[in-house]
Formats: sequence, structure tokens, C-alpha cells
Amino acid sequence: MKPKLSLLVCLLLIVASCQNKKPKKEVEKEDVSANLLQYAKNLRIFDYGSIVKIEIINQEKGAVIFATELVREKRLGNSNSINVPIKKMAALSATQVGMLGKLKAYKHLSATIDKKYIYDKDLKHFIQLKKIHELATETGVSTEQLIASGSKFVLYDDFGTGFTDEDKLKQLGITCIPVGDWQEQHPLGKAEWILLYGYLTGKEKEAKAIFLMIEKNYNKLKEIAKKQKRKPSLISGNLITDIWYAPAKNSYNARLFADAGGKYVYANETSSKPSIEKSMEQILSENKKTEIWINPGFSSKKAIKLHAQKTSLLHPFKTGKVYCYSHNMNLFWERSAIEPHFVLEDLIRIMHPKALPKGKFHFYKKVK
Amino acid sequence: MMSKLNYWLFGGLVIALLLLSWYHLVVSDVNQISLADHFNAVFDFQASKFEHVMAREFRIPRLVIALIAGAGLAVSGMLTQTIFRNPLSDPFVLGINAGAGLAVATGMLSGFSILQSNMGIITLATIGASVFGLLILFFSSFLKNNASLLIVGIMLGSFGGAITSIAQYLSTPESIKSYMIWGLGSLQQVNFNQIALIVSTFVALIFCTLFLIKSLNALILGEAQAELLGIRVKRNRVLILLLASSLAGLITAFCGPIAFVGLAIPNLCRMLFRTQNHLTLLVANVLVGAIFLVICDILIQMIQTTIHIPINAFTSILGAPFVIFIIIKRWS
Repeated sequence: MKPKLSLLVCLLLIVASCQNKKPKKEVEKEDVSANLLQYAKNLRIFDYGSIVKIEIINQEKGAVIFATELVREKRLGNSNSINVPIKKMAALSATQVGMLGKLKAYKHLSATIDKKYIYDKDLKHFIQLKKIHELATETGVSTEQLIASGSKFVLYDDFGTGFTDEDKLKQLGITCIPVGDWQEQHPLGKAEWILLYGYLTGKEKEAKAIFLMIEKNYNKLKEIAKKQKRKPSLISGNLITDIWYAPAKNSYNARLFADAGGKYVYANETSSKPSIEKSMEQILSENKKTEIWINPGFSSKKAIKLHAQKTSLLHPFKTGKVYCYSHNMNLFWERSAIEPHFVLEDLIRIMHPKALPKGKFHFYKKVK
Repeated sequence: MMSKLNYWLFGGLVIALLLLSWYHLVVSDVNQISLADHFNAVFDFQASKFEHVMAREFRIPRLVIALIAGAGLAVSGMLTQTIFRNPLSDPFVLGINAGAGLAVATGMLSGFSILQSNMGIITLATIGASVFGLLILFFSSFLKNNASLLIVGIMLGSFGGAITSIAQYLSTPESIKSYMIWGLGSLQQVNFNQIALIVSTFVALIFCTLFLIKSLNALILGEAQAELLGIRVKRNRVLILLLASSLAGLITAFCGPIAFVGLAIPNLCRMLFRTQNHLTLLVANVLVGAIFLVICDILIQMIQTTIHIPINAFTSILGAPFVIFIIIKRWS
């Protein structure tokens, strides 16, 4: 026993000494500087030519929750690597579908959500032809249906709990990829996730070109909004039972409102969550003269009143300056993440009607 | 005849109710609104005055619905406990609230504006509650065991919940959102213009209950004894259940489902007043129910800067330990 034990100890020491030669911090430092992404906080992509390293981060956990190496076809990778382009993936949220649609990459899709949540006509057509399997909503996806769809990869929204039956799916050779784009605070950070879809489908050049165009347009619009002298005051959110949830400082929406040249009432209120909570009394007393109400969550004044009558006491409700995207939610959820410049354009049109040449809203509509 | 102690108790409850109502009006530190502002908001309302709007649209309706909901649910619970001779019966446990919820869900998710109006919701809630109440009454004629009846009530509740879920699946996101929010329960959805309707309906239902006091007192002795006393048991049981369902339906329509008040308060009143006289119990339930819900809402307002708790969750937190206590006391 003794010689065996000493051999084991020696081996462990050798392994440990080898690991010590490359300090962990240095590796991280080098990696971070090589990250292709500029705005996204939950995704890192390192393109080393033949190998592309992907890291998906959960900010709440402060950890990398998914890491893999993408190996371009016909090269051998390790057991954790993925050969790209991947052909059969299931996309379980409208935002993911929107990104793939923007890349014209539906042929890589094997399954997706219930078509009643889909806006894109082409995708609906593919679903009707049964070229793409229709699953239920993300939270209600049947594992058996998912397996039957032949999907080898599952893209799901990361809520910090992993995907249902992830371990069982792994045994069947199905890889689950968490997507944390919805947690991005910067609108361009959300859009930057298109690079992940680009690398997965072998369309990284197209993805980079699309993102550059988005970034350019977004920043151009932001500059126009910046030049506006008057910043109209605005409020966002609505009551859920007796609590008004409004975007907190550093949230995605607060950023958009600021970039659109608006004076968001709660722009400086922080919270550990993406939203702050207020009572309706607080909302009314703090918004006596607020001019615009964005995102009430309903497409008509009648629906807003039915949902919470007291919100009709808000000044913008009386003056009619209420705007929302709820008349076409599928369009908004599918496209807004990948078209943040259009969201910004809409918001600028709402806040500064004369700042841009005449045009139509992309997502928003006046609530009547 | 009421004992002297009970007179003192009633006196104390009335004073407590008045003090708590006053405190409820002024407790919120969001806006300082005096009692004079409240008075003027009712009798000399000026829409341009912020304090008047706050008092008229927020504080007064919230207080009134807290009083009515607490009293109404407690009386409804007392009525169901008497006709089923079961201290664990209440509109929530028996599935009557689920009936109201199912009917309201059908209306709200249907997309028909007439069913989504205030009157539509009240009518639907009352019909739904009454239908489920009558179903419970029907099943009770086959069941001798109180526990079985409670299980039937729970099953009816599950059935109602399942149908509502299917209806939600087939509805638009906006309708679903409205219904789900209603389902969480709230004392802040009522506005000033609705108060007259709510109060008059409540008073009418309580007035009708007064005519059934004799039957309620007799039913405590059992159906056979009640019939010997000349009570038309079958007819009166239906009437009592319709009253209980209407009260539960009225409250559920305006506040969403609120649990445990109808279960805990009638038991508390019996313990406090030590009587089976339903006239005494009726007044006691009105007072104690109203006080209970006003206290709950005051506490919610006091902690709202730290945490927002829906009224339904709060009544359950306070009510659940009390119900466990009743069960242990009765069956240990």
C-alpha cells in the first residue's frame, strides 16, 4: 500500500505544480482583454481563429455558468467543445427567435415556442409546414417533445435555475445553453448577443456587420437626442396589485429613456433588483406634473382603467400622453432586443416629436 | 339576553373600530392628509386640491372596503359554519370563492366589455359564488361527515382553478394580466363612486340576515330539532347559503379572493362572546371582522416602505396559525 500511496502523492504534487506555473489571474486578464464584446456583461467571446471560446455569465451569481469552445467543422475538439455551425437547435424565447431571424438562420432551428407567441411570418410558415417543431412556452416545454424534435442544442433564458431535466438531456447528448441577454442593462449589450448566434450558426461575419450597423444607428440617434434642449419628464411601469413597479437606475429601460433625451422621474433610484417598488399614492404625489407615461403594459385606456382604475388620475393619462408597445407584443419581444435603435427612435419621437424627420413608430403606439 | 360583559365587549369593539378607522385614514406617511381634508373631500370636494383627491380616491375607499370586506367575509363564514355545523367551513375552504373567481375569470377573459364592467364583475361573482354554494349544499345532503364536505369544497376549488387555468391559456395576455392581478387580492381597487353601491348592497344583505336569525339559532340544534321548532329547514338553508354566497361574491368582486377572514373571525367571535345567539354573533362578526381587516391594512401600510405584502397573503399569515389552533383545540 505504501509505495502506491507515495506514488499517488507524487502525482498530485506534479499536477499541482504544473497548475501553479500558469497563475489563474493572468489567464483571466488576458482573456478579458481579448473579449470581442464591448457592451454585453453576461457574455464573453474570444475568437482564437480555429477555436472560439464562449463564456456565459450570471451577474447575480457572479460566476461563469456556461463555457465552451466552438470548433469549426471537421476539426477535432475536446469533449466539451461544440462543432459549428450547429444544425439542430431549439430556441425557447421570442428574443432568441428574433436574433436568428435577423441572421436569416432559421434553417439551424429545429424547434421553437408556441406559434401564438411568434411574429415572424416566415417562421410561422415553417412551423405550419412542420419543418420546425412547435413546443409549448419555455416554462412548460415537454422534455419528450423536445427530444422528439431532434434538437441537439437548447437555448433557454437563464433565470439562475438551469433548464428542466438538463442532466437527463445531457445524457442524451443534448446541450443546454443559458441565455442571459434579458439581464443586460445596456440596449447595445442586449443586441450584442447576436454574435453568439452568429458564431453558433457560422454566420459570425454577418452578425458582426449587423451589430456594427445597429451600434452606428443607435449612437447617431443618441447624439440627436442629446442635442435637444428640453427634456420631458416621464414615468414608466404600472401597478401590479397595489405595487407600482418602475425601472430602477441602471436598468435597460432607464438607459433607453436617458439616451432618448427624457427626464425619467426615478432615474436616480437604485435597487438590488432591476425595478423599484412604489405605492400608487407615492406615484401620484411624485408625478403631479410628469408629462409622459411609457409602458403601462396595456394597449388601450379602457384596459388600463379596467386593470387599475386609479392610474387614470395620472397627469399623462388625462393629457393622453401614454405610449406602449402592447398592441403587438410578439413584434416587440421578437425584435426589440436586436433592433434597439428602432426602440430608441420610437422613444425620441415620443419625447421630441420634432427632432426626427416624419416617420412612423416601429414598436410603440399612443394608447387611446 | 346578552350578558353585561358582552355589552362591555361591544362597547370596546365600537371604540376600537372608530380609533382604528381614524388611524387607518392618517397612518400613511406618503402624504399628510388631515381629518378635515377627509371631511371636505366628501362634502366639499375640489378636484384641483391634491389632498382632496388623495382622500377621496385613496384613503376613504380603502378604509370603507376594508371595513366592509372584513365584516362581510366574517358574516359569510359565520353563516356557512352554522348551516354546515362545521367550524372549519368558510367561503374560501368550501370553494365558494373559487366559484366567484371562475365566473369573474370567464367574464374578464371573455373580452366582452359588459362582463368586464363593475356591475358585470359583481353579478358574475355573485352568480359564481351562489352556484358553487348550491353545489356544496347539494353534496352536503349526501354526506354525513363534515370532513368529507370540506374535501368536496377543496375539490370544487381545484376544479374551478383548473377551468380558470384553461381559460387563461386561451385568452389574450392583457386579459390574463388583469385577471391574475385581480386574483392576488387588493383593497385599493375600489373608487369613491363605487362606495354607495358596495355599502348599500352590504347593508341590504345584512338586513336580510336579520330575518334568518331564528333559523340560524335553531339550526345549531340540528335539522330535526329545527323542524320541530317550525323552521322550514330546506328553504332556509338555501336562503342562508345564498346570503353567504352573495356576501362572499360582493367582496370577491371588488377585492379579489381574501383568505382566512371568513374562517378565523367567526370562531374568534364564538370564543370571545361565548354564545350561540346569532344576533349577538352577527354584530360581533361585523365588528371583529372589520377591525381585523383594518388592522391588517394598517400593518401593511406601516411596513410598505420595507416590503409590499398583498392583503390576501397578509390575512393568511395571521389567519393560518389561528385556524391550526382551532383544529388542535377541537380534535385533540
